[in-house]
Amino acid sequence: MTVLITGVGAVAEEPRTDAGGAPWFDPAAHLGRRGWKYLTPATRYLLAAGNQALGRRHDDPPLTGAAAERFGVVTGTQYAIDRVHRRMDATLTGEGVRGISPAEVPGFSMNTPGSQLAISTGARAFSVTLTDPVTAGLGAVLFAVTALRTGRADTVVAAAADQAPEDHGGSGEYDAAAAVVLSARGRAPGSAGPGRPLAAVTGALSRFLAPDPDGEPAPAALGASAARIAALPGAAGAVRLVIDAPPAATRLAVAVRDAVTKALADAGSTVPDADAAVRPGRHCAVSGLLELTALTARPDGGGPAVLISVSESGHLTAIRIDNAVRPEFI
Amino acid sequence: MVTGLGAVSCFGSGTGALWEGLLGASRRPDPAPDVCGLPARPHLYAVPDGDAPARGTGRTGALLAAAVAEAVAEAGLSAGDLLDAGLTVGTSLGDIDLSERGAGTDADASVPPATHRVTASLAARFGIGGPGQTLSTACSAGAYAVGWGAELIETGQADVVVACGGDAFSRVAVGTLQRFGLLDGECCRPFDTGRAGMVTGEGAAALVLESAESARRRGRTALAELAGHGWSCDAHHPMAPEPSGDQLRRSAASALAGLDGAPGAAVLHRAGVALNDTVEATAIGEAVTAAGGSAGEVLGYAPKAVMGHTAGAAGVFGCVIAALVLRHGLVPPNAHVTDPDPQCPLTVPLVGPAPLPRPSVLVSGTGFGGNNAVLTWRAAA
Repeated sequence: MTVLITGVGAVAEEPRTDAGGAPWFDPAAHLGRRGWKYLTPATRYLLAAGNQALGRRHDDPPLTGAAAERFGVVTGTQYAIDRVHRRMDATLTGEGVRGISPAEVPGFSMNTPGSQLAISTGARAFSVTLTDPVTAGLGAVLFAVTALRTGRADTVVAAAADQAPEDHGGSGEYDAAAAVVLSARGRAPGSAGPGRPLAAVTGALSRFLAPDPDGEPAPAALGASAARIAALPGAAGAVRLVIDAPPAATRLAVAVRDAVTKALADAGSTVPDADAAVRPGRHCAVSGLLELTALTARPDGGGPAVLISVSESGHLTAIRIDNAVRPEFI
Repeated sequence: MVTGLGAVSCFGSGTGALWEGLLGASRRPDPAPDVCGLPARPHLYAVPDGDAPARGTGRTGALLAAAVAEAVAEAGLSAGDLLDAGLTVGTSLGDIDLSERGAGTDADASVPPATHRVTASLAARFGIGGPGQTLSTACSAGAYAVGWGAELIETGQADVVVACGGDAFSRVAVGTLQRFGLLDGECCRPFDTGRAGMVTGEGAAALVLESAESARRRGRTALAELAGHGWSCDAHHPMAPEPSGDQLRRSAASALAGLDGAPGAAVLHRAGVALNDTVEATAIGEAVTAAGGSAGEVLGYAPKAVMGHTAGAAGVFGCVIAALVLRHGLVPPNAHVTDPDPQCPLTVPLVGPAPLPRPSVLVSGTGFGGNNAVLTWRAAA
C-alpha cells in the first residue's frame, strides 16, 4: 500500500539577534482570539501546525461519525511538559498545592498536546504520543504509516511539537511544531484529508545503534542498519539523503551518513551531495519532521529521498519518500 | 505469543511476588516519600528499594531494567536474538525523578532533561537493536505499548519485541491529581461504592512478544496468545472519559473479535474514579453482549486495589496478570470492598480466588485524553 502525504504544516522559532523582541509565535494569528488561553505553548504550536496541514481553522467543527473513527493523530515530542512540569514542581515545593490552577492540571501529562489536537479535530481512530528524544517526530510518521497499512485508519496526522527547555535555550535549541497528513492510497480520506498528494512514503524503519564512549556504533550493527535503510522500497538512482541530528549526535550522524551512502551505492543508488547530508537538528523532536515538510513542499517533488533522525543515544528512524503518483481513487 | 514475563511492583521483584500479592488481596498503600505540597503525605503503593538506577537513568529506568531482565531471561533470549528485537515502552513521565529531584535547589539548572531516554537506555543495556518507540498515552501507555509491539511483529518489522511499561513516584503527578480531586485519601477501592479516587503506585512490567514462527524456531513454549486488540480515542476531554463510552466499546469490540464469545475474565483499568469506572465496566459489558456473550459470565478484576495506579505500567501489568491468570486458571479476589458497586455488570470475585471459567482474558486501558486500548488473550494452544 502506498501512503501519501497530502498536507504539511509547520511553525518554528529561528535564531534571532534581537533578544527581548516580540514573541516568535502569535497564538491569535494562528488560532484566533479564543479557545487557547489555558493551553500550553507546545500545544498551541501543535494546533497551529496541525490545522495548517489539514487546511482547517482552529474554530472549525471537529469531524464526527464514521470519518472521525477512521482519522487518527500521532504526536512526537521530547519536551512537551518540561517547563510546565518544572514550574508546577516549584509551585508545589514553594506555595503548596493551592498554587496550581485546576485549569492547568492537564498540562502535566506528556500526551496533552496530542490529545488537544485530537479533540480539536475529532480524531477517534487513536491519539498516540511518542516521546523518544530527537526521533519522535519521524517516529510519528513511521507509526502513522504502519497504522494506515494495518487498516487502523484512513487518514492520520503525524505531528511533532516541542518547547525547548529553558536551561538549554543557551545551547541553541528552539521551539517548533510540524505536521503532515498521511492517507492510504485508494481510500477516501474524508473531509480531514485535502486533495493533491505531495509525496509518497514508501518505507520507514527504526533501529538502535548503541554508541561506544567515543560515540561510535559497532561497525557490524551500523552496516546492517545501513543496508536495511538502503533497501527501503524505491527506485534506484539519485537519492537525496538528509540526516537530522542534534550537535551532540553529529559524530554518530556522520558515521550513519557514510554507511548509508555506501549501502545505497551497493544497491545502485547515488547520493549527489553527501557532504551536506548531516543537518544540525535544533528543534528537538520536531527537526526531522521539519526536514520532511521541506522535502515534500517542493512543487516538483524533487525525486526520491531518505530522511534519517539520529539521537545521541543511538536511536535512529528513517523514512523514504518518493514523488507522489496521483492515486486513482481520490 | 508471549514467551516471557517480568514485573517489579509494590510486592517486590518478580512475577512470583506479584501473583502472591494479588492472591493475598490485602496490600494497602504507604506514605509517599514527599508531601507533594499537600497538608499531609499522600498515599503511594511504593516499590520496596530495589536496584539503584544506572548512570544517567532514574528510578523508572531502574524498575524497567529489572522487569525486562526477568522477561528476557524467562524467554531465553540470547544476545544474538536481541540484535534485531523490537522494544516498546509505555511510560507516562519516564525518569521524572531526574527533573524533580533538585527542584528549588541550586542543583536544578544542572539536571539534564533526560526524562524520556528510558527506551534508549534499555536498548543499550540489553543490546536491543531493532525498532523501538516510547509511547506516552498517559495511563493507557502500557496497553498501547503491548499493542504496538504486536503490530511491529504483525507487519514484519520484528520477530521478537520486548514490550514493557514503567512509572515511578512523581511529586508533580501526585500533587496535581490531588488538586483535581482525583485521589482517594484511604486506599484504592475500585469496586466499592465508597471509593473516592485513585492512589498512585510504582512499578514496571514486561512481556516478550514473539511471532509463532520465531517461538517455534527457538523451541519456546508460549505462555499466552494475543487474540486481538483495539485502539480508539474519545476526542472528548483532556482528563475525563466520554460518558457514553462509545469509543471504548469500539476498542473492546475490536479486541473481542479475536475471541469466540465472552472472555473468562476482564482485568479492568478501573482505578477507583467513579465516573471512569462506571463508563469502563458498562462499555466492556456492552461489547461482550454484542459479541454474543453475557457480561455476568465474565469475572471482573481490578488489580489497582492492591498495587495502585502505576500509570504507564498499568496496561502491561494488566497483560502480565492476564498471562498469570491463564497459567494458574484462577482470578484473584478483589480487595477492599465493603459495599460492592451495583453498577458493574460483570461478576466480581470477593472472597478467595475464583476458577477461570474460560481460558481467555480481556485487558483494558484508558488514559487522559480519552486514549483507549483493549487487548484479549487466550491460553496458548
